[in-house]
Amino acid sequence: MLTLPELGLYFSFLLFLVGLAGVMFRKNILFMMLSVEILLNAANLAFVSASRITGTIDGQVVMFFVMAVAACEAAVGLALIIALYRTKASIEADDLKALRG
Amino acid sequence: MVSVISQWILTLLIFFPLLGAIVVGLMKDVRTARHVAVAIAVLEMIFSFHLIAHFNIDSASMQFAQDLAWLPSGTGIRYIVGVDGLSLMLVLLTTILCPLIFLSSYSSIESNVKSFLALFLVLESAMIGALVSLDLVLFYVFWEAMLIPMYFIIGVWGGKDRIYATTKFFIYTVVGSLLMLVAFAYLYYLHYQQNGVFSTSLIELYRTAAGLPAETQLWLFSATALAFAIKVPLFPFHTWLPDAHVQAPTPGSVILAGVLLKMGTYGLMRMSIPMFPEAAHQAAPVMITLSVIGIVYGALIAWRQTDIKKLVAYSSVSHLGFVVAGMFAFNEMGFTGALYQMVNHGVSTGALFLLIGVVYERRHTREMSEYGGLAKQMPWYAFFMVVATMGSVALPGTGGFIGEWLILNGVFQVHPIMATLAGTGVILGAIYMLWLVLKVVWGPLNNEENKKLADCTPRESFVLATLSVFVFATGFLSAPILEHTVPTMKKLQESVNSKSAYKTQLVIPGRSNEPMKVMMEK
Amino acid sequence: MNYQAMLAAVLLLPLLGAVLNGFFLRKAPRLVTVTVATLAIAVPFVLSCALVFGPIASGEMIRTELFKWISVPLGGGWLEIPFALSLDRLSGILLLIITGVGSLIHLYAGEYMHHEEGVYRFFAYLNLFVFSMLSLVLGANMVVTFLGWEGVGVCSYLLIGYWYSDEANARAGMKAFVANRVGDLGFLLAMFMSVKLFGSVDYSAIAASLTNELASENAPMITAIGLCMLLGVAGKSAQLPLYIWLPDAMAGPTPVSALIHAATMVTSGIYLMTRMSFLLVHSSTAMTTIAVIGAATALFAATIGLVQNDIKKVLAYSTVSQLGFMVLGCGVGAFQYGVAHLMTHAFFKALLFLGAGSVIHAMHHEQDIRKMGGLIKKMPITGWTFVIGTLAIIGFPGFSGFFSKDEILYYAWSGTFGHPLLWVTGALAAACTSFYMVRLTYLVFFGQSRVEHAHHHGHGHDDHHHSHEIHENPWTMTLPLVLLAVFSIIGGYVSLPHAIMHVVGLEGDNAITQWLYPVISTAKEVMKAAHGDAHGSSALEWGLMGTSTLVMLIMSGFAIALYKAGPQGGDSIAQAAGGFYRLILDKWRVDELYQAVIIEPLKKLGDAFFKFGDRAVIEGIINEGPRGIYLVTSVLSDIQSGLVRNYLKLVFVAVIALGAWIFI
Repeated sequence: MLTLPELGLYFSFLLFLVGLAGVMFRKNILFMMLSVEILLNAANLAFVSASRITGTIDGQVVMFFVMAVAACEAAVGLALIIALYRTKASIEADDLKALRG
Repeated sequence: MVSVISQWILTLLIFFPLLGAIVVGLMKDVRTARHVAVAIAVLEMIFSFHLIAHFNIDSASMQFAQDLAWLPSGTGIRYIVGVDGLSLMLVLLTTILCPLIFLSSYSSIESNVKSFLALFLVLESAMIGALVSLDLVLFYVFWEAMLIPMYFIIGVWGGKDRIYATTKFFIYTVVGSLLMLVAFAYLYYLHYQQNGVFSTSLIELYRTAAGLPAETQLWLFSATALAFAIKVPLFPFHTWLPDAHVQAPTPGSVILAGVLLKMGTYGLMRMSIPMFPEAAHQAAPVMITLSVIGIVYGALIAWRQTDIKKLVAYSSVSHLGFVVAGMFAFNEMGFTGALYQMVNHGVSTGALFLLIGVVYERRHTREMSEYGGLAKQMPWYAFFMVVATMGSVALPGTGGFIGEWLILNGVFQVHPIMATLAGTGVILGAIYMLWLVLKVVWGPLNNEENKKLADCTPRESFVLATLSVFVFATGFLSAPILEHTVPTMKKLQESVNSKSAYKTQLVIPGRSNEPMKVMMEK
Repeated sequence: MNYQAMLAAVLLLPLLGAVLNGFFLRKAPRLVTVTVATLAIAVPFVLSCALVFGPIASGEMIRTELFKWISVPLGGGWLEIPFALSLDRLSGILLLIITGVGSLIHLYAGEYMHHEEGVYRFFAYLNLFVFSMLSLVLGANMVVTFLGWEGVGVCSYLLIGYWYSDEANARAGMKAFVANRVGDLGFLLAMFMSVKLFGSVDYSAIAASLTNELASENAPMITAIGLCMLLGVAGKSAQLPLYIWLPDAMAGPTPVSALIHAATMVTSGIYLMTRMSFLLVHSSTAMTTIAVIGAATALFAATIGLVQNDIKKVLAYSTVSQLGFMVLGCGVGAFQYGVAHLMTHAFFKALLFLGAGSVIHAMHHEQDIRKMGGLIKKMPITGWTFVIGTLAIIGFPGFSGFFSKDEILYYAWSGTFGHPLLWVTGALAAACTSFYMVRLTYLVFFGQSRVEHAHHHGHGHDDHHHSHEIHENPWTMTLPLVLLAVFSIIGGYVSLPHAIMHVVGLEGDNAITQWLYPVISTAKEVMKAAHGDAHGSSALEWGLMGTSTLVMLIMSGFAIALYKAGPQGGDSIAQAAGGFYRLILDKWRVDELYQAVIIEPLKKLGDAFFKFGDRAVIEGIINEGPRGIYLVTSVLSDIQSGLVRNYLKLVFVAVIALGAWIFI
């Protein structure tokens, strides 16, 4: 029988796949942003679970860092999306391909 | 005191123009900036006279040397500079040509003057740096640094197709120098493998490189020689030159023909040949054949040009073929002649480009058919033109003769047939140069626009007269001039022919193992 | 003043004159210019007389080193080439001719060029020419000689194109320079071979190190040196196949033609061969080739001279022909008579050119002999001195040309490398010479005057002090004529034939042989050792002399008979000859041949190199390379869609792949 931390690790893997699929297949930048958040949270869950398994505190510390970064990222990301919407009148990712080779 | 100056003189020569570039860039008044630039170049020239005054002509060592820490010591990359007979001539050529070029730019450069002057001073700095540095990385830095100002000089102040020309020039040169960089890096690694320490000192690497197996040498030789051959330019890598020359502004053409092309031949003589003597011997037939093809090929093409600048550009291909052929004869006559011809070509072709500039500024065309009969309207111009032509066709009494005579003589001693074929270049040289003079200077003065042309201004006359004096001075004073190069050329010849490492050492003024002549006297 | 300094002064004064006139006296009055220029040659003449009749005559040799010129290490030793002058008996003769005839021509030119603007340029060139010519003959090594050798070429280039406003003149100058350059390559190669063989280019050093053994071991190289020198000679001394520049060179002012293209520069080839005689005689191939080229040139040019109508062109072809005689003389081993003919030719040909110039000057630049005639009454001094010159060149007994030319012809038959066929060729050339020179003289100075008076009034330039009547020129022009005429008579007595000397009871060798003995003794010994004594008999000499005199008289008489009534006299023969006549009149169309066979193909080659070689092939490869790279990269760049999702997919795939690679 799986222990709780181990379940947490498997769950974080599933969560990561959900987030990855979201970033890869959604076309709306807002949803992509949300998916990125899911990814980050998957990572957080993994950190915390690992922390429990190894019995150290490091993973939980890192989780706080990630949360802080995620907050910043969300703020900057949303600002960028708003700026984009103002110039392009669209938040579709496929419209943004200035870097096409 | 003298020894302190001697110790720092090369560093001063490298960085003084750079400093000048900053000063000129910060100036407000354009006219003052021009004067200041001339003054800097003249000062630089005066500084460089210290080298002749205190050069020990009996020694082939690297004199006025300086060896300072530069990059972290583990890398083995140091700031090492020094001159011997080979680089001395070219440093002087550079410092003497530059003030004249600045004088000529008074009328040829009208826009963005300050940037031009600053870039040109940077260029001078880089050229001298490349000539005196004895550390491969340092050399490479200066070598590439020459490219940047020249890229802008052609690209900003050039003619109609300047972007095409400057891009071509840049790409050609960079392709070559990257191969050279690879060769240097590999050599650096090999040196570490053999000795356990890293070093980029040329003097150390001479020893490492000469000991390599023939096949490795050949690869490394090819990589470096290609870089230099493109710069020379040797047939068939020459096609960037006509474009660059035609599009470049007058001062750009002069410095390109006068010094930048010599960097290629200098590199061959400083690096490729003495570093890889075994490979140089194997490659010599190919190099001489390419040079001879270049001589005849360039001359025939030059003859058929109607654009004056293009004609002179192709004549450079032909003339530099002589230089390369001479150095691959591997005897003292060939080496000495090649070095001497580098200087002479700088003087006479520089003069020719200045002369083209003089009429171009007045008429804004380079078509031969637009001119004719200028001797009537511009007698002094005609005089300078004939003198420069005579220098270019290597008439006895001009420096070109000494150079070509030594080269052909040197080549003849080993490859008589090749020397004879190269000798036809002398005839063809007379044909295309006299054709140019015939079409521009002689003949009837028919074109109405030419009838109101003014003769050379005192400033132009001064520049051209100085170069004319040099044309003849190098022709008669060759013994005292060549005296400076003899030990170096002799040592070069010995090491190449014995296929052993080129052995030289730094003579650092003040604490030297080989006391300088001056100090012995005092 | 010691001799060395005097010798240096002889060389440097003309240079000083050139510099003064060229740079400092540009605005000076004509008189000053002319005086400076003439003095710059006349003073060296006086010094040369002192030198040649002093120490040189008593057997000394003067050598002076002005400065170190080139010195490079050469195979362990050194190749030292100082700027050294040496004066021996051979260069002494040439020194006197150059400065002596040169002074007279400078004097003459001062008057001849009187209506020219900016005459300083002319005299600067002329002085510079004399400087070059002097360094040619005084050079102690080949490189100094080569300095003069090319220097005279340049001065000749500048002087032929003196009236540069007419492009034809400038083209003629260029042609001369280029033809000379072809020859110069030969000289250069000869020098290189000397360095290879002897390690030196100094004449005396080469002479010292050239032993018979060395010569026989390196026979091919000696022959090659000889043939390369011949190429140089052919360029400078206008021999086949490079003679084409000399007739065109007549575009220059007439004093130039007299000094450069008759008396001095063109004879430098003969000087060089005599100087190198000790080497040339080691190779019979080279000597025979030289003799054949000389004889062929003599005849070839003489045939062209037969039909020309331009007074200077006739003289030009006659110069080529006479140079052929000199080369023939050297080629058969009679170097001293080559030099003797050089000297007499310098006198009489300079005289003829100056006479022609005098006529042209008086006739306001008319050069067509069909428009002259009867001038001897109006210009007696010019006329009679011209007649003397003609008598000298056709070899009228007693005049200078007779002795020098007949000695050459005699040796062409009997000399070491002689052959009767060479004599036949030479005699035929001499016959042609008699015909065209008498034709020329008769048409210009005798018979009815055919001068078109209307012609003069059309002339633009302002010569109010000249009446339009043709009259004798002032003394500055006639004095040189008279002096040269005197020498044209007496100059030949230095080379009295042995047969005549026997009759008048003189023993030993004639003056020129004795004088040049130190210079050519080595050559003579070599020839004697290799080929034995090659002396003909007195009877043969008398016979040949008689034959050529007879031929000369017949041809001269024929010419006078033919042209008694005027220039149309030859028309009937010309019509009979038809196409052949036109071929000769067009100078055998050699220029056209060279144009078609050498110049045009080279031009086409140049064009092809540019359009095909540079533009198509090299540029093609250079530009196609990047295009290929572009093709590959454009495929790769399609991957970079610009869509974030796609990038992420790639990252995903990459991570999987990387993980698989690391963990499995």
